[in-house]
Amino acid sequence: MADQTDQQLLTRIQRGDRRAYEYLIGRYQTPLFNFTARFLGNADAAADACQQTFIQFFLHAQELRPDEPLGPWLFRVARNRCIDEIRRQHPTPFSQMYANRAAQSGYQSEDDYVDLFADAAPLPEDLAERADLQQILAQAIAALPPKYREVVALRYAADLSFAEIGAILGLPEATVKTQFHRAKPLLRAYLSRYGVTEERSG
Amino acid sequence: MYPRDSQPRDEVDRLYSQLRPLAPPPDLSARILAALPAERPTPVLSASRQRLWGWVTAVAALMLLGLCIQLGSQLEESGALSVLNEIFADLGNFFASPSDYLSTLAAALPWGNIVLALLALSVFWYGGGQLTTTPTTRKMMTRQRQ
Repeated sequence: MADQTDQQLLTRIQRGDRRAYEYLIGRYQTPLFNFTARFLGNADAAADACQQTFIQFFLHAQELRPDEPLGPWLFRVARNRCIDEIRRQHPTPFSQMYANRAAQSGYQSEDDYVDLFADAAPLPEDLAERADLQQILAQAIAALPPKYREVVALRYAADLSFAEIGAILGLPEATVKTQFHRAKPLLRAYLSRYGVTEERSG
Repeated sequence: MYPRDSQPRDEVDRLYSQLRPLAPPPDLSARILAALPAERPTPVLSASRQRLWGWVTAVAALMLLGLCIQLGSQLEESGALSVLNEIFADLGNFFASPSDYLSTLAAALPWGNIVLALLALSVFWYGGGQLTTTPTTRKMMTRQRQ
């Protein structure tokens, strides 16, 4: 079944082929899990979001057109499940989360935004004991405002192109690139705060 | 991991190229499969097909209505109704020589319109059945059942 395209698998799933459905789970579970895990910063919540995504796909498979790309559809559903989870944790409108947290903390510029998350991060000496580069890289993504976090997670964790990210988020490619490039100074600031540089990461 | 499209790499890109992919929980597939409903969802129509079947069913219903009215007057005019009346008024006579009655009735019936009416009825029945498989109707039916 490895040589079958998503469209061929979808057609088989629409005919009731459960093996094709299982195969599709196998094909997409790793990129979806990586995206949701980096977006939510929590493996259990990420696994739940993936589970809900695949169940939603099963329930709506009959309504999908065979010419509709399946990958963006799955990522879009996963992203919506992540936003639901974030809203559940923080009962604030998603669009206002960035502004509210900034207002509460007297933040002036985007560079200052990293400071909002500094308290949640472990102390450098703790970090030296238990954290490695992987953990700091993940924490830097988790510390981003959600609208940047989803773009960065799709880019770095799900390995998607800007065009694909645009299709998932319903945004023009140029907007996605802008958001990504605005997120980079925040990541850079976080990483340098913990002394992560190319030389040190080896 | 690093995205497929070629964008200029800076230090952050190079650092994140070292980000190791996470392995999903080994039981994730099993959890998903266990949480699926036992029955496969009924195939549903796309919105365009739903509209098409809506029109086809409505036209079939109108045709059926018109043909029934026309059939009623044709049955009256051709004498087929009076033959039926005679049959039911005296079933003994009918069973004594059924072929006489049936041949008279067959000659009096407006077959063309009867066939058309049956055709319209079939289309109405099938189209109505298709419409009940749409998501909206299914939701309404589920709500009624609850």
